[in-house]
This record gives sequence, C-alpha cells and structure tokens, in this order.
Amino acid sequence: MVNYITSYLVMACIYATMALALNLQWGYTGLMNFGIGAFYMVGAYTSAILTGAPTSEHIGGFGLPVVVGMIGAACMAGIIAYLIAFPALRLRGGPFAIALLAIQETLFLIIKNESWLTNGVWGIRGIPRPFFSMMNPRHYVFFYLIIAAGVLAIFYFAIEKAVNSPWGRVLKGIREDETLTAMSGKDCFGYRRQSFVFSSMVMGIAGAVYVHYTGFVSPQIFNPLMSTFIVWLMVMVGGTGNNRGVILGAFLVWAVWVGSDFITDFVPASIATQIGFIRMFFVGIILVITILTKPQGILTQKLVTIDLFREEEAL
Amino acid sequence: MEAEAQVADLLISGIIYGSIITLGAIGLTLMSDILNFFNFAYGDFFTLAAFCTMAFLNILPDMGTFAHLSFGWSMLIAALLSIVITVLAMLLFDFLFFKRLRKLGVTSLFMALASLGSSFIIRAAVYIIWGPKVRYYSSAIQISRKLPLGIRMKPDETVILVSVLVLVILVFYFLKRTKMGMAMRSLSDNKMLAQASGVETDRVIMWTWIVSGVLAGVGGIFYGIQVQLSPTMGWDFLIALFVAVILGGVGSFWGALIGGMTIGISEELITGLIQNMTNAMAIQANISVYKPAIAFILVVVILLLKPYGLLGRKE
Amino acid sequence: MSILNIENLVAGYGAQDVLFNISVSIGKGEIIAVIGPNGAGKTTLLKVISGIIRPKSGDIFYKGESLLGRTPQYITGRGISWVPQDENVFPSMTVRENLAMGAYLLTEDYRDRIDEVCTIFPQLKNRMGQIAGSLSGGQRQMLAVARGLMIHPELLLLDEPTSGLAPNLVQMMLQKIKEITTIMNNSVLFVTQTLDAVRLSARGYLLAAGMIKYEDSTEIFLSNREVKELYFGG
Repeated sequence: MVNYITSYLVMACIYATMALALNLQWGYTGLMNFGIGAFYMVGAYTSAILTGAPTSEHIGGFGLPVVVGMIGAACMAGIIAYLIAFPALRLRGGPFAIALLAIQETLFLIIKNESWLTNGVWGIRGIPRPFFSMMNPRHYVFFYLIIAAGVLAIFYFAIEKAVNSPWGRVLKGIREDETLTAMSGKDCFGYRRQSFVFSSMVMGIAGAVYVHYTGFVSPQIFNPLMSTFIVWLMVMVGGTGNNRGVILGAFLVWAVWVGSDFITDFVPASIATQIGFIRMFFVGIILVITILTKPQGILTQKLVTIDLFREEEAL
Repeated sequence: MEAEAQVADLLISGIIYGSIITLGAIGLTLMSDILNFFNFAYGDFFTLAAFCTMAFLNILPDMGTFAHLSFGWSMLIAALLSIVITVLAMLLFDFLFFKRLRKLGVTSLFMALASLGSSFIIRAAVYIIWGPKVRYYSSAIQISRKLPLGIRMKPDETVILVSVLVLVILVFYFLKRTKMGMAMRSLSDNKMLAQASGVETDRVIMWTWIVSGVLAGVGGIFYGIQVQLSPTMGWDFLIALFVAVILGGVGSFWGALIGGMTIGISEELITGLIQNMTNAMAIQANISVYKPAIAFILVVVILLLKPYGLLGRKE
Repeated sequence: MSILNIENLVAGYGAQDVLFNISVSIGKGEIIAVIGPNGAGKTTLLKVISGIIRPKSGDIFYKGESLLGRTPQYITGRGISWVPQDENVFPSMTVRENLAMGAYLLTEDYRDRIDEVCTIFPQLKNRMGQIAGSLSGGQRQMLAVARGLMIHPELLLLDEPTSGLAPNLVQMMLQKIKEITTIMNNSVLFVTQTLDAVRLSARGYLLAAGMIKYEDSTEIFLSNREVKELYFGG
C-alpha cells in the first residue's frame, strides 16, 4: 500500500514538473501549447538512447551516465523548441495550439515508425535506473521519490525566481501589452522564445526522469491524452499563473486518475477496455465546467479592459 | 505511361480529398472569424455526422442503391437526418457552453480550451456508444470507371465532387446575396459599425453555427465514404482543416477554398510521389502516415512568406 | 423642443472614468458642436449615446425615452445614427453594400433611399461596385456619412467628419451636412476641431478632461476668450 502511494507520488512529481513548465508557457507567456507531450517524449527517448545498453535493434545504447542522459534530454527538447520557435511563435492562440499539436503528431509518427532510431512500437528497454543496483528493489521507489521531488523542487524555485526577476517582468509586460513593451525597445520575440525553449527543456527533463523510473519507453506511453491534455487539466484545475496552484492541481488530478484505476477493477470487462475514453469524457466535462466556473487565469490589465469593453458592447 | 497514370490518379484523389477539406475549411474560417476563437471540437462534429449516418443506415430498410453508386435513398434520408442532428448538436454546445462564456467575456483562448473539452466529450461519447472498431457504410467495393479525358474516378467520388461544388456555390450565394450573409460579412469586417447598423450578433452567431454545422454534416458523411469510420476520424482531420484555413487566411471564403484544395492535392501528390520514389529505391517506408507533416510544412512555409495567409487581412 | 437630453452622465472604460457629470441638450433640427482637446472624451460621449458603452450613472433621454441599458441596435432603430471618426465603413464590402448595411434596419426598399442619398453625394453614384477600402480618404468620409443617412436618422452623431480632408473637401462636406439638415430637418451632434463646423452650429459645448467647461450659443461661444485662444488660435 505504501508502495502504491509512493509510486503515485513519483508520477505526481513528474506531472507537476510538466505542469510548472506548461504554466510558464501558458500562464506567464500566453502560449497555448497543445503539443507539450512532444517535448516530454523527445526528452524521454533522448535519454533512453543515450543511456541505454548497446543493442542491434536500434541506434543508441551508448551507455552513458544518467546525468548525461538528462542533459541530453534537455538539450534535444530545447533544440527542437528553438527550431520551431521561428515559424510557430508567429502564430497566436488557436493556430499556435494546433501547430504544436501537429508537431507533436509528426514527432510521434517519426518515433513510432522509424524503428532504426527508436525501435518503433517495441520500445526501448533496459534503461538504467540510477543507483538501482545499490539497493533493495522494493525500496527503490522511495529513493526515486527523492529524485523526482528534488527535480520538482529545483524547477519550482528556478521558475519562481525567473518570473519574479527583471526577465519575468518583461515577460509580464509582453503579456499585458506587447506593443507597448516592444516600443520600449524589448525584443519581444526573443523573450517569448526564451520562455518557450526553457520550459520545453524542463519538459524534456521530466521525460527523462520518467524514463529512468520505469526503465522502459515506448511510443504508446505518449498518447496525447496522457502526455499533453492531462497536464492542461492539471494547470486549469490548479489555477493558471499560480505555480503552487498548478503543483496542487497536478497532485489532485493524478490522484483522481489513479483512483479511477481502482474503479476498473470493479467494472465489467467490456467497459474496462473503454476506460481510456471514459476518462477522456470526464476530462472534457471537468475542463469545460472548470472554465465556466473559474474563468480567470492571468487576467492582465489589458485583457480586463478588453473583456469589459466586450461586456459593454456584448448585447 | 504507368507513372503518368499514377500522377493523374493522385491528382484526382487529391481533388476529392481537397474538396472535403474545403467544406470544413469554409466552416472553420467562418467560425474562427465571427466567433473569434478556434473551435477544436469542429472535427468531432464530422465524426458525429458520419456515425449518425451509419446508425441510421442500419435502422432504415434496404432501399437499394442508385445506379453505379454504393448508396441509395436510405443514404439520402440518413444523411439529411444526420446533418440536422449535427447542426442541433453544435447549437446545443453553443447554448450550454459557448454562449455563457461569451456573456462572461472570457478571452478567446479560454473559449478554445472549452472547445477542446467539448471535443473530448463528443469523441468519447462516439467511442462509448459505437465502440473502437472501424466501420464502413457499406461493404460494397467500388470500381473506378473511365470518364472522358482518361480520368478514372469512382462514381461515389463524382457525387462528392459535384455535391461539394453545389454546396460551395450555395454558401457563396448565402454570404453574398442574402441579408444574413451580408450581416455576417459586416460583423467580420467592422464589428462595432455592424452593431451600430442594427446587426444582432446573437442571430449572426446562430446562423454561423448553422452554416458550419451543415458543412460539417455533409463533410463528415463524405469523409466517411472516403475513409473508414473511427471515433478519431474527425479529430485527426482537424489538423488539415486548420492548415487550410491558415493558408487561405482566417475569415476568407476564397482563402478557405484555395487552402482546402491546395492542402488536399499537395498531401496526396507529395506523399504519393515520395512513396513512388522510395519504392523505386527499394527503401522500406510508409510515407502516407506523414501526410499531416506535409500539410504542416506547407503552412509553415506560407506563413513565413505571408504571415496572414494567402488572402488574409490584418486582424 | 429637445430631442436629446443628457443628464449628469458619468461613463468610462473599465475602472477608468472618462466623462464626469456631462449634461447636453439638443433641440429638434438643431446643429450642436462639441469641441475640445484630444482625449477630452468627445468620442466616448458619442459612443455612450449610440449605446456602444454603457454609462455608469446619469441618463440619456431621446424624445422623452430613456436610452439607459439599450443596445446600439435598438438606439439606431429609434433614429440615432452614429458615424465614427475612424473605421467608419466596411472596408471589404462595396459602396453599395455599405449603403445597404446603413439601411439594415430600414423596413422599406432601400434602393430608393440610395438614390436619394446619392443626390446629396453624387460622387458615390459611379462607384457603387467599388470596394470601400480602396476609396480615397475624402470618398470614404462621404461614404461614411452617406451610410449613416440611409436610415432617415432624426439625430446624426458625427465624429470629426472633416478630419484628414483637404480644405476644399472640408467645405464641401460641411455644406452637404447643412444641405441634409435643411432637407431632412434632423438634428446633428458634431464632434469637431474645425472652426467652420462650429460656425455651422447653433450652439457649442467645450468638453475638456471629461467635463463641460463652457457652453453657449455660437456667436457668444466663439467670442469666448478661452475658446478662441486654446482652440482656434486666438
């Protein structure tokens, strides 16, 4: 039982890290990214390839230390973010979201189909877990909780510091009134790109943390519901723009998710197979109700003015 | 000779595919422009239409088929009913969710998130009701027949092409010559002035849903003729629709037309040609899965050259 | 007989108030000018009257009826036509369609009305199929006013209808407005910076920092020292 709770906590920490990163993109930079799973996945696979044991089935297996794997994960995610920033950041709102969705899908297809690189649908196994050999396997999850929680804590403080720094203030200015900020000489595009790349790197590291926990990776793990939209739900529930809130949201949503796993044990087999879509149904309902009842987010001054203006002319 | 026939075939299938995309693109561009948010659930209404049609076909008695076509009167009745249901469903979602959010004055990003939740609800509902297996309207396999100019097309496809043409002309007529159509255009052109001229935004919004709903209904049914029915068919289709809209410029009727046909033709043509190449080079690769990537690359290229799409105007 | 009575109006955007305790009255067939520096709230005043912005307090009476809480659509339907300063046409629609939109609430056939309006602005007659966005500045202003006339308004709200026009066009536009008022016996509320427009009016209001600083019949208004110095160069 304690084991079960601990493994819930590990995943919750990983998802919380993702939620922090998404909050930076959405709450602080206004980027509605529906493809965050792509960076999670890329980070996971990069670390897997770099640290895995040599094999003839696919490239990789360099057997490098886990730390190198994590750095590699961050770099790869960051590079991809940097490359797509140029065209993608020109888009706003809905178009941006679906552009990232398309990128996620494309990367997913590549990872699924290019077996020479990733071993395709069979996945990569035997990914090393740090210090695994040094302890009783049954206690490993407690140790890993320290790692996962540590990563979460590091990024929490890092992001909090960042958004309260001069850099963060410029970001806020861009979010509130980009034209004004641009006129005072700030390279708005550069700032947005920095935020985008940095948060993508955090997502990559989250992916690496995941992969060194389970020791195994395959494309199916990164289906959009589990790697992108669940994180959106966490951020919405937790209250966008509030870092502590989204961590709480992550723990909450993941608890409900894990709890619904219990339910499948008590449900007839025919429905159990549909559990994925039943979850999707409820995610949809919760998402819509959350927006209907707490539509705040970072309601900045400019947005408030526009909303009120619309209210005044909304008839 | 063989290779040329290939290109012609690819062109034909691209035109058919493109025409279905065009229907959705027109609907999506109208909604994005007038409702001011990107409706992530639009694709799922295509799915709904397709599955409703299938359901009706199963209930209706067998009324035979029209000459050379794979369907008959029962399909027409099923189609009409499904279109009505699709339109009603869209109006329902507006009434339950989007209208409330509009009155609250939430930003378009939150509206988009709400539409995302709606898409989950619809998609999951389709899955739960009809299950995961892919289906077809009928098991009859169609053989291409020769038309003048050496074009080979299936009779079903001819119907699709002609119907899309008729529908596009009807929508154009609606926008250009009816009072409501003019009201719609005026609202998109200059919202304040339109309201000051007496245009009731709520009525225009209702008609926007109706027109887009009809397009989604017809598009979904045709799409179901072309590909197999699955709960995610519409969602997967959404990326192509989005790309077509961005390509043509949000809010532009002609842009949606050009964008839709361009995406359809280029996806088929490019993936087909690359597949020919890899086959010729004896490389093992399934190129058709990368269709979404082609569309995406295309739109990135266009956006770099014309940031508002081919026919778009500055917001 | 007054057609419009604004009493103690307070209005603004969000938390920001722009108009403080404004009182204005317009008689039937009267031309009134509201002048003042940029940012004084002149455009806001017109937006409140036309229903685009809801007042925070105070009231607006049109022919004795309170317009409080009414939509722009309703207000236009009652006979108040607003011609904004910028973005006053539908740029992607043709001249004819713009005029048709002006007649949106008209119950009878608008084609006769188009002919009537074109006798006032004959320059539009040959440009019916032209896209409004491609018109010159002067032509666009004319179209904007023409659009506003389609509904047979009893009160015409004009926001700087001569701004950006060459001097001869300014004279022509003012002359047209005088013509219109004579033919249709409607009232006009001018927001303007142009001296000649004020001369056209029966009375003038000076609006500065959201408050009416001064009002009087035109002759006395124009001989007021503050008005002369600050706004018309002495």
